[in-house]
Parts: sequence; structure tokens; C-alpha cells
Amino acid sequence: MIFKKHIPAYPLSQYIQHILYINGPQQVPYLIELPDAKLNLVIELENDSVNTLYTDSKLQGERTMKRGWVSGSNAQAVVYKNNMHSTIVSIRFTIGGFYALTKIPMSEIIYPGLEIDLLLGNTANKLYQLLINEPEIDKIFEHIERYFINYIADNSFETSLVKFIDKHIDSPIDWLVHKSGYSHKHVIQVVKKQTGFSLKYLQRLHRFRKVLNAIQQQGPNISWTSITYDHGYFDQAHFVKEFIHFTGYSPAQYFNIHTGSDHNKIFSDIKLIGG
Amino acid sequence: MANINRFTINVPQAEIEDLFVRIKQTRWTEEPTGAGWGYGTNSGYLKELVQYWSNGYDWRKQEAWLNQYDQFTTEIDGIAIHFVHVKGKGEQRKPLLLIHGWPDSFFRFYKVIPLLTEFNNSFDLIIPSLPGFGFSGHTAVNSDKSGEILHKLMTDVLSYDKYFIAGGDMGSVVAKSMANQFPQQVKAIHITDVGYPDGSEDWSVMSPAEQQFGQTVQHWFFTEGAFNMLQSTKPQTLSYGLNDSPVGLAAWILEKFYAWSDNGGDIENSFTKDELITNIMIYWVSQSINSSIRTYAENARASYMGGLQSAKKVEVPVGVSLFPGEAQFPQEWAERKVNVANFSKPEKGGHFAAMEVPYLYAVELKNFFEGRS
Repeated sequence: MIFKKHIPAYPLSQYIQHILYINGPQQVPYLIELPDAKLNLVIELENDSVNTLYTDSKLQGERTMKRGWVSGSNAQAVVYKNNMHSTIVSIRFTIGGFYALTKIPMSEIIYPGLEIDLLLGNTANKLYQLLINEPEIDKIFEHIERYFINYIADNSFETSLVKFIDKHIDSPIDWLVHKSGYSHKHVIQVVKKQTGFSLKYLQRLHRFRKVLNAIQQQGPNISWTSITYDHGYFDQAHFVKEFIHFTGYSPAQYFNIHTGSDHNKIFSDIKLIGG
Repeated sequence: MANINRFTINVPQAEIEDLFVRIKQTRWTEEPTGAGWGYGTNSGYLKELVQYWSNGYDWRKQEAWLNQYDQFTTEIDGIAIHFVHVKGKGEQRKPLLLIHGWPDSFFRFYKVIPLLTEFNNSFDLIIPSLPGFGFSGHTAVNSDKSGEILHKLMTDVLSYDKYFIAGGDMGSVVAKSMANQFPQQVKAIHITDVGYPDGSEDWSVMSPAEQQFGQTVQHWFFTEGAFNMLQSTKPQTLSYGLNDSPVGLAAWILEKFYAWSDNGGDIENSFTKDELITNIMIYWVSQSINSSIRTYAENARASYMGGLQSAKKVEVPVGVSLFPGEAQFPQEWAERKVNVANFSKPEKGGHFAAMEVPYLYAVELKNFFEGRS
């Protein structure tokens, strides 16, 4: 398996967190991608390869994708059928970074598997042709950077409302609104447009990601009670309900998946799962 | 109960073979040095496209793609009407009629179909070929009559009591006409152009921005608008050549896709070759170029004979999205023409926004129609 991670230089780094290149099959039937409020654009470099995803863990809502699609901005986990004939490039944006760069608003119209050319227009098809004809991985990263750097129109994202909220996401909503200097309504509208989520949902997602990190760091004797209370859940029932909402699995089922392979012990965003 | 028949595009192989014989026998003409697109469709690009049409383009694949959604035909006022009908998700879907223009076709909206039907409580989409276009009958009618026919499609044939409309180009004109003819049933419309000066305006009352817009449009008519005059006056003369030569037809249509899209000088920033050719193929295989351009003449005649409903101010709520590739009219001009309930200026896209920037266009529609009933 070839795995390469590229972090763009400033100013693009404000908008794009990283670009991954992954080549080589995983010997499992399915992979689950967990939600984290960051838009991901996935590009399949094997020209004739078809990818399949399901919008929930019970393998409902099947979609097939060929070239490039939207992933990772999902409110809940999505499941991929493992594709043994696949070379993936994955572009992960920072929270609000995709909107700040392209001025394309987030919306509930975006669904997991939405083709990139519907989002970005035919220039995405031209980028795709460049990528599939590029043998060098570093050059692939360069093409992607060049494509997105053309979008940068101003340098105001660093001081934007969404960046401020991302930085202080643990704070109470009233404090965030007060400190932003805008009205409550304006803050809600801007956050929804630029991230695709409500402020409250962003906070729920953030807390859920902290839970995942905690699970990642715990050994086999995990204490669900301390995870529940450390992260401010009212009780275990609320914690379990929230966990199932985001992943489709109970915490115990998820923990079995997490400890089921070396890959899963290392990577927190994409988990390999059995049938 | 109206008679509705399922419809599948299935062009006889002999017609496809005939097309390629004609393409092969094209007698090309010269072009001034350094012409670019300044004298009309660029020869270099046209040859590149035709080369692909002959050697890379797969009509059967495109035909299957067009047939992926349910299509029907019905007869209204003696004219066969072809339409795509896609039902969205959710219990509370809104019926939305999407009307194309010229020189595009029902294909204009194909990329927005999943975007407008996948989310919960989305739209039921009805996407017709206008009378005289594509797989509808070859009867050219003016935009008021088109509106009357499409209203019957929505109400008598499909039994929608109330509905919404979105359109661009001629689709905007028909949408405005329908809103004025049937304000009880047409709840709101969304358009991407609101209409242009027609000589009846009192320019002394116009704002400076409107005066500037008027000058821009006048300049446009002198430099780009000859097609309109020709199609509005003597379409028959033009049609013999366009219906006989696929390359001639492609050149006539392509010039508009180049000039009217937000492409930064490269038409393929806005459309793939497959998309450009499939739209041309719809005119070619249906042999509808003559009746499609004759609709301009029918509109012109109706204007002389007492005016069209679309020329009157629209009073139902109207959402206007002004994409950067369109002629940039000021908001006060839009307000003069329609009851503007929302005026927005998306970042990218041109005259064919539904094809060029499908997601942005779909968001404009969703945002405007959301909460309206």
C-alpha cells in the first residue's frame, strides 16, 4: 500500500487541511467514514473503477460514483464498499474552508457521493483528466494546489467568523455570538451557509470527535463511564444515543471495530469493517 | 383523462450512419487569420469537436443517459408534448416546471435533477421540450401559446392544482407569460433573465444604471444579435442549411454556447464535448431546428399583433438569479419587469447556469422556493 500525505503551503493551508494519496487494496468488505464537519473531495484515479457508498451502517441508500465525489461533510457516518481496484486522492478542507475558497455555499442539497463536477462545474473534469494522466504523486498534489489556488480572491478567511467559531467551538453559543459582534440570526445563517451545519450541530460533532480521540487513546480496559462524564454527556443513555446517531453503531460495537485491525488502531477517520 | 404514453429515445441506426456520412463529407470553408471567435464559431475548435463527434462520441451511451429518467409524451391542443417527470423524496414535494430555452433543450436541466430531488421534501420535476423543440411536435408557437400548453400539461394532464416554474432564456419568457396568464395556479417563478429593452421604454425615467444597461444591450444587438433578427424574420431560409448539415448546425449552436457561458475564453471550462454534442444531437435527430427557431418569428409576430403576456409586469413572487455570465441588468430594471421577491448574484455561471454550475443553480432554486406554498 502506498500512502502519502501532503499539507499545502500558506495561503492554501488556510482552506485545505491536507491531501492524501492512497493506493492499494484493504482486505475487508467495508470501510466506514465518520463525520467531522470537514468537506472532503475524493477522486478515484482508476479511470474505469466504480465506487459504492451507503448512507447508513445498515447498507441502505446505495450510491455509485466514478470519478470524484463529495464525502466527509456528512452529518452522519457513511459506509463504503471496499474497492479492490482503486487509487484515491482525498482533499480535506478546513471547517468552512471550501466555502471561503470557492464561495460555493454549503446546503442540504449536498449529499454523500455528489459528483464533483456538479459542484465545481466542468473545470473539475479538466482537473480529473490532468490527474489520471500524471504518473508522479507529488505532481498530482501540485495540480490540485494549482487548481484551488486560482480560487483565492482575498485573504480574509483567517479573520472570518467561521474561523473564530472553529477556534472557540467549546464555548457556549451565547458567548460565541456575543464575542462575534453579530446578531444571533446572522451567525446562524453564516455558519450554516459556510459549513453546512448549525452551530449546535457543529458543537455536537466536535464533542463526538473528542470521544473518538479518547477511544483511540484508551487500551482494552476502556471505561465508558469516564468517557461519558469526561465529555459532558448527561448520562450513559444520552451518550449511547448520540454515538449511534453519528456512527450507526453502539460504542461497544464500534470499539470492537476499532480494535479489530492495526489500521483501525492508527486511523480515526476511516475504519475498516467486516460484513 | 389525458392520454400519456411512455417515451424512450431510440434513434434508428440508419439515421446515425447517415449523420456520420454527412459529417465525413463536410465541405469546410476558410477562416480569416487570427479570427478566434470574432467572426463566429472558431474553425479550430469546431474541427476539434467534429473530430471527437466522429471518433470519440458515443450516441448510444448518451441516449441511455437521457433515458435514465422517465419520459412521456401527450397531446395538447393538437401538438405532441414530450416531457421528463421525476418525483423527488419526501411527503411534501413541490411541483416544479423547468423550462429550457434556445439553443438548448430539455437536456439543459439533466445535471440538476439529482440535486433537486435527493434531499427530503424536495421537488417533483417536470421538464418538457417546448412546442417546436426536441421530441415535442414541430409546431412553432409563440410564448403565450407555449405557456397555455404547459399549463394544461401541469393541470389537466398531471393534475397539479398549483405549481412553481423556473426557467432561463426562452424559458424565462414562457415562465413570465404563465405567471401572468395563470396567477392563481403559478405560485412563484424563478428566472435568470428578466427581459430586455424592446423599444417601448421611456428612458427619461430610467436610473443611470438602467441607461447603462440599455446601451449595453443595444451594443449587444449590433454585435451579437443578428441571429435573433434572422430567426425572428426569415427562419425558413436558414433552416434548409441547418437541417441538412450537422457541422452547420453545430456551428450555429456552438457560437451561442461559447458567447453566453461564463467560460473565461475556453468553452470547455463550462461544458464537456459530450454535453455540447448531445445538445446538438437532440436538434439533429429530432430535426427540430427549423420549428425551434421559428418560435422567434412567432413571438415577433405576436408582439406586432398586440403584445405578449410576458411583456407585462409579473405580479406573482419572482426569484431572480443574475449569474456573472449574463448581461448584467441592475436590480431596478428587474423590479420594473417583475415582482422581485429575491434578487441574488451567484459567484459563477452564465446563461446556461443549470449546465455550467448545476449545484449553484440548484441552491438558488431551493433557497428561493423554500417555505413557499
